[in-house]
Amino acid sequence: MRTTLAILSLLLILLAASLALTTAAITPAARNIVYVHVPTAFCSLISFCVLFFCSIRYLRTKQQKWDHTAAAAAQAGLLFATIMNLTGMFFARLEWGIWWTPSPRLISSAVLWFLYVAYFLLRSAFESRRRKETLSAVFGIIAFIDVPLVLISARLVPDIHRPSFSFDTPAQLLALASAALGSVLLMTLLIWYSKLSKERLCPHTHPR
Amino acid sequence: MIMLAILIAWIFRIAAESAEISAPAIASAALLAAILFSAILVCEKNFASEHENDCLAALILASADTGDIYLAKLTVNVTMLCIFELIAVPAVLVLFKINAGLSWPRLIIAILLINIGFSSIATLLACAVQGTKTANSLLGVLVMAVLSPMMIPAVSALLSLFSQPDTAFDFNRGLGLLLAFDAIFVTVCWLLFDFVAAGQEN
Amino acid sequence: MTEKPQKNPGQTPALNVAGVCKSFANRAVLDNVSFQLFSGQALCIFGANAAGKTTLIRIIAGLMPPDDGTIEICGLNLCSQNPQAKKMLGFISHKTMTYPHLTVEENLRFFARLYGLNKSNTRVEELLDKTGLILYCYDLASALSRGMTQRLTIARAMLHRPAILLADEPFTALDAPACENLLALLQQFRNEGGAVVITTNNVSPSLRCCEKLAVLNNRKLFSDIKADQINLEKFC
Repeated sequence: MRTTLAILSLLLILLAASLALTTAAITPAARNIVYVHVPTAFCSLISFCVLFFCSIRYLRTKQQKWDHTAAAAAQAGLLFATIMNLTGMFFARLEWGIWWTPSPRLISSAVLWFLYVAYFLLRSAFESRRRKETLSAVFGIIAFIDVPLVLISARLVPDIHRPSFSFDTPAQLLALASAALGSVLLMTLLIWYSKLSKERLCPHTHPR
Repeated sequence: MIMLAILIAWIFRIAAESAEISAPAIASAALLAAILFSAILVCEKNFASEHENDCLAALILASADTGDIYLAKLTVNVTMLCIFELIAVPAVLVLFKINAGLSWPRLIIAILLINIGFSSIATLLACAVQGTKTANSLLGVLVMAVLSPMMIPAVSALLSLFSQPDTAFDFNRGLGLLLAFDAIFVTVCWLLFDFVAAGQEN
Repeated sequence: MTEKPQKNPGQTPALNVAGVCKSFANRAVLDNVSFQLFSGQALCIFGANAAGKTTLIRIIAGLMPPDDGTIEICGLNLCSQNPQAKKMLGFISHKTMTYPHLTVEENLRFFARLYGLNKSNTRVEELLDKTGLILYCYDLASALSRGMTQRLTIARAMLHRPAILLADEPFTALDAPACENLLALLQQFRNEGGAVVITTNNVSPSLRCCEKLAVLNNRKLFSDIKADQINLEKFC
């Protein structure tokens, strides 16, 4: 199953890349960074949803597997959020001449990244495993509630994040869809492998 | 806390003078920064005394509902912040020369909503980080990360009060958002406090 | 092991623990722990370090939920009828659970208010007298000796006249006179109809105050243990 996912993900990303370099290319060439930026934004939000769901499941069941999955989702989410913010900064510099400005989506992206980092800082602060798991789950829920709130409150500031182009041709839409789907499959694989490695580090000592 | 607020306002004042930034904008930022750091200090100190001799367990045993402890702590923290702001707010207004046409009832309502919102998150997270080696710094990072969305309507509301009447900033929209934030944060934190308090067992 | 039937089968036990299980991170700590205790009885639970004694007594106190099983306090289920059941419990541990920056009297008055005792209630004075703290009532809790602190802890736990007193390692760091004081207070509580549960690995004083003994070992509770069956070297 994992091998299948890996192959599919690779194929989709290669398809997106080949289209982006040929028929789906946006001019000027630097704008093609959106084929990385948009899918990673999508994946970082999905990771947050997974983190939220697993946090709730952990608080209800106290099963360690939910904490492992939540932490794995947070790791993947942090990776994608970092790539999203970096590619976004490069795009903003090329498109609008600035690295960063407090526009709604850029604020939301930055807050998302801060929340992921804060989640890991919290996890690293506890020596007791049970306390770490419980409080990480609590923070995961609070952080997730923050995400729609930041999207709403950021509407109060002017929005610079309005691209001057759109994905018009079928090739461009196909490239974007392939990149997005490939990224989601890649994210799933990352979460899966990360969860497995955490489970290997915590063997059952007294099985019931 | 009062000293901290005055120092923050003073540093922002010097920066505003050097950079020729408008006084209302930087006064809003200075006041928010002062309230935020004070909220973190108040909440952390409040729970440090509970953690010392396992007094939180004694409170849980004595109270009918663990959520009551959260609401009680929240009330105390908001009250402490209000007392601190009796001095801090006039200090900021004086430093930044803001007084003409200031609507005091609206300012009080805005600051009260900001206090409740900041304290709601800081109270829960202060309980969570007790017993860790880096409780103080960790609490600051966590609170600021979670409260960063709330800064936008808070600044919007304060800026509309401190600026001249014909500004584009909408006080009512900012106030509405602050109210929504408060309602959501207080409810969610009250529901989650059980898990955080129980998490002190280990 | 289940509890043998008591002398008055129709009497509701003060404490009924049935099938309590608890795990932490897939590691079982308690497995199907059951016992009963009636008014006036005292149970001492022995166990080695990390046997699960503190976990068990904190579950009974309602400070953490069990994964499985029920706990009834005078017939009230601790999980579903939590507020009423909690009012019948008093809890002391090796931590003082009092505020060091308040005086002895201030600590007791604060907790008395939490338990719903109004200011005119004389319970605080009664307990200060009973525990011998009347001369220290204006001293800060942080200034008390270990023995005095334990007396304050007991006074706090008995403010609301609980039916059951739970004591987690109460003899820790107490010298002989302080142990004697603590034993006398526990005996007084039993004489007034209260039930006592003590968890400890300090054998000697516990044997003097408890007629029922149990051992927590390998996640299970073994009841009806005789004093000579306890391996002193194992638990000291």
